[in-house]
Amino acid sequence: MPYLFKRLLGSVPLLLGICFLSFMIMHLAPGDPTLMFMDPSVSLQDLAQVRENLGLDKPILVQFALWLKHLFQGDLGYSFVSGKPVIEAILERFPATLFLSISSLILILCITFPLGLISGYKKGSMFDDCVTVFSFIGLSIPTFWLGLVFILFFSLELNWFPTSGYLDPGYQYSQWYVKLSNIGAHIFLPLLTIIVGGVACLTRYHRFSIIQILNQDYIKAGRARGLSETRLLFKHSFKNAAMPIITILGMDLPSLIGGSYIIEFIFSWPGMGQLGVASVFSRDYPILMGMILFSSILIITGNLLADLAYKWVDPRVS
Amino acid sequence: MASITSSLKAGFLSFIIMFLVSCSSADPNIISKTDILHLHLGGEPTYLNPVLSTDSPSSSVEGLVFSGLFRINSDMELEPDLVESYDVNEEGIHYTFRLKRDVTWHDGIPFTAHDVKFTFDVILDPKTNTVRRSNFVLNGTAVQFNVIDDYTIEAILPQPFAPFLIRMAMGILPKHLLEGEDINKADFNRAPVGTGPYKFQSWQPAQYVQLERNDHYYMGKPKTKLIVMKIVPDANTALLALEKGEIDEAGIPAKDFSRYSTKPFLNVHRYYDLVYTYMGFNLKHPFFSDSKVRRAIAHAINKDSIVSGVLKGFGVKADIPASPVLWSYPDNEDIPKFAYNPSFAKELLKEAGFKVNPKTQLFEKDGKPFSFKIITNKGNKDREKVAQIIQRFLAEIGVEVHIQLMEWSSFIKVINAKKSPKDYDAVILGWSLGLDPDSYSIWHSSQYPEGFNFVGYLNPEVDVLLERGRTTTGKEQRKEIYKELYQHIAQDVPYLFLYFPESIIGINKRVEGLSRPGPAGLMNPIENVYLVD
Amino acid sequence: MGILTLEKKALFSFLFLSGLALLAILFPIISSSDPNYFDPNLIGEPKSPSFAHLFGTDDLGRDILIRCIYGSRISLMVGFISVGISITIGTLVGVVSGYAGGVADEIIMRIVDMFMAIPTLFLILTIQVMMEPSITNVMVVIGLTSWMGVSRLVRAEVLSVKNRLFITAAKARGISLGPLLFKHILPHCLNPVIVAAMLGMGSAILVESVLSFLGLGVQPPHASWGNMLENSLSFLRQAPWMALIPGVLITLTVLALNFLGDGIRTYFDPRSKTSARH
Repeated sequence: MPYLFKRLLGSVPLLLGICFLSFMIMHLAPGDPTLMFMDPSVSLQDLAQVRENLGLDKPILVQFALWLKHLFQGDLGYSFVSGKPVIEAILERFPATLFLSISSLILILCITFPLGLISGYKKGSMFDDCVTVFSFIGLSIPTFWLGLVFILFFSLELNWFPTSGYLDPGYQYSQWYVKLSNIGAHIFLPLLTIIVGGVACLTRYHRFSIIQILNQDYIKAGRARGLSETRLLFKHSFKNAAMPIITILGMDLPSLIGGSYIIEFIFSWPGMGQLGVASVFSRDYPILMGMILFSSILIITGNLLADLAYKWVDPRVS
Repeated sequence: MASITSSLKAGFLSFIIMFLVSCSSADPNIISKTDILHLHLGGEPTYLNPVLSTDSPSSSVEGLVFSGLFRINSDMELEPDLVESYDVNEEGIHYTFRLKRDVTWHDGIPFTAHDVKFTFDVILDPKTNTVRRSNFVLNGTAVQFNVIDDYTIEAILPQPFAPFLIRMAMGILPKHLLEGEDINKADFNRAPVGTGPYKFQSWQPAQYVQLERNDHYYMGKPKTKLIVMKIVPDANTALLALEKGEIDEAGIPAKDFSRYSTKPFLNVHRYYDLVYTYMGFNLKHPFFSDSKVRRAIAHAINKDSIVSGVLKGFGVKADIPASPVLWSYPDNEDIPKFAYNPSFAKELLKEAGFKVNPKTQLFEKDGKPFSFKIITNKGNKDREKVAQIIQRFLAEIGVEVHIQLMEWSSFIKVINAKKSPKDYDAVILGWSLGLDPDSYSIWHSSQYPEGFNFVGYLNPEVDVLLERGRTTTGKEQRKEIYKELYQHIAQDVPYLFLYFPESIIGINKRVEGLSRPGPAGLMNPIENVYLVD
Repeated sequence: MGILTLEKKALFSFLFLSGLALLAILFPIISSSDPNYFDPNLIGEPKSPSFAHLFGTDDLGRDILIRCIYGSRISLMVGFISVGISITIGTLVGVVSGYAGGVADEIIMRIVDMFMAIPTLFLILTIQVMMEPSITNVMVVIGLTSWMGVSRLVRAEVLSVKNRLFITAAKARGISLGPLLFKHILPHCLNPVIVAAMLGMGSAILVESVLSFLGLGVQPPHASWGNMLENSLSFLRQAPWMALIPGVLITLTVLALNFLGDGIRTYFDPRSKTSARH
């Protein structure tokens, strides 16, 4: 427990550092939110006035101090682009992102664990080669391209799923299970796109850990003692092979939460990825800062969990 | 091994069950299909408040929810909306508007002149984050709005101003809901109340905006019960959604015209919008400050092949900064043109003091090769293609071009930098014009370096014409003024005018009651639009 | 046993990659065809494959095969250099942090956390927006934003290796720090590093295509596989061949990189040679 406490305490300056760094990087990018539109009927005096109203004419450090002051008062501010409270803007995007990322994560884990295990165990076999080739074909097709092909095939040709969207307007006040099934129909194509692209990575890592572990002395010893292969695989290698996977997951946590911009853009999925990229392009600083804060907290938690998980699977890690 | 495969199977099974459920579930709507019109928004709206928003998704929604004193009909004429009648005095500076008396807000409160006054007060308030303020400030003096009685309001202008009435098409806000609120942060911006044909129902972020008809609309009850405006940011996806009937309307790229025009369930409409695309020269650039050089480039580029290559023929080449659908567009014989003639272009360059370097085959002057960079904004495939075609055309005559795509804010930062000369050589952009031909902010020399005259155009005669154009109110007189203006500009070649694209819109055949295709929209007025099976 | 042994697969992959690299380098010297050339007066529809254009032409009438060859220069370069940057930084940070342990490890890892916590896409976008988009910047940006994962992987390996018997033995023999780190510890971390490098190279090529999708990649008229794919997107039904060749090339390259990585790893890994199951 003192370890946990120390880590948590250590994250406070870390968070401040992240915020400061991001704030500076953000303001180094040219332009500001008032430059988004260019219409001959807009006057530059008006833009200057808006800039002043938003506090963008103040020095950067002052702006950061003000942001920090409001943060400690529990106020993340309002979006420059839509006037929405930042908390609200982020939270309303959260369910869609979470739904998509958790279901894709679970499915990817379900697929990659056995695939990696078998490929690693039967290294160099036909099965291994097939897994490698197919997972890499999946990996090497850009998602924007794959997504569109899927819409074309599954939605337009076969008419199985809607092209895009999240929940049809008519279902807004339906029972939860009706809602869920409607979202389910919409989630299929984005999910498939993520899985096709995401299987390769984890399968590879898992396969390598299995290969490595099967070469460890204690497994060899076990084999020599005549323990059954299945028992060896499950009892000994499973837990050890989990290590790099935990790392990857810890690393992936923010991207799971941050959503995938391309997927969300192609499938009109109302998640955080779209919000984040739109905010970069429109220089919506309050939203960006809110999202970075949010994702930093998540990654710090993710890494902490990963480190704790290491200790659990490998007691040698001190 | 067995346990792995079985768990895999179970996973897939539950997955399939989930989708069987989803596919078989019945439509819970009791509303029939012909009650809901599905429109398309290309992005998430920002504020549903006409005073604050500047993006087109927002204004698509606002157009249905709010109404102004005037509206623009499908013939692109101004017609009374909230106004019953109006007068203007001889000098053109004192307007009196008499408002309709039977109008109520969507929440049932009657609409009065106080709402109009409130709206313009909000716009003129410096605390409001609006860019509409200068529409109502002329030469530093604000237009004065005075309530005469509940249904009469007067506007006093500091000087005559031709585009004034068009600016009165601005959507009016309800005073009773916004008074005393901070308009920049008000919840109203996400749940607007207007006087228009449709009432706001819900806005699911990044999904859709749903509107319900206003049964008490003063111009007559709209025929379609519900409008769902789906937010589909990706244009390719939107096209497929149109093809599948998930949305009833979407823009169609020119290259896909033939595919969609033959679809049995689609009507494809074409019209010229009030936009043109151009390449602007930085007139402070040492080479481009010479009008001979600019003319040479104009002669070196075949606009016809740009129109056929990029627009697939769905558009016409442009020679002046006005749209052919506007009343101010002059007769064809009054427009100066630069025919495609590469050898003449080379002659002009030689006259301007350029020589061909035999090694590089490039023109050069004083040892400096004629090489320049075109910048344009990213994400516009047409402009990207235009840039590449221009690059090829100029390579043919011995001028080297580099292309740089820039992200919008950085791009604007470069061309709007408050300095002279600015850091670019040439830029490909488009202007979308208003209904009024006034283009003071684009061409007047006072709008440089701060303003939209970012090319640094300076022609005293043009300045005078611009000033006269916006203070003269007679249409025929103005047409003469603008004809002269366009001739001056075309001859000076500050921009290389490229083309007016045609807008191609596909609309599902179940949608009826459309207006004549034009820049004012196909569903204008929306209350006539209805759906059939 | 599969169709091919590991060595053969690695060999074929090596031949494929070096052939591709050679073609990319030599083609511009032996051929005078300009990948960006088209006749501006004759722009038509994209043309399907024919004898004149083996893989068809794109929407401006440019030869897709020639553009692909030129594109491979950019894509391969983006892959190699950006991964070179990220692997170097990542391995160094990971080894130092993992071996040093204690407070140093804690501090280094928190700094890594800090970099990781800022969403990558945000970093890439902001940096790309800040600098003028160019090929060099694309490579540097991808490299600088992808080393954190490698460093964590390496650190994890170092942690699990450093207390093993053979390391303790090496220390007892009085081996100095440098050789200890690079001769004894690093080889045991190669597995994940090589996997990460091979996957990273593929993903760098893809990140470039995403940047092209966002308009921040390689600038027109220059070709990369990524921007060719991106450009083919709106012609998916009209001219599918525009996507086919760059797509196949990316897939083959990523596969070859991976098989090669597998081979290299087996060669370097002292244990896998003695593996009973091969």
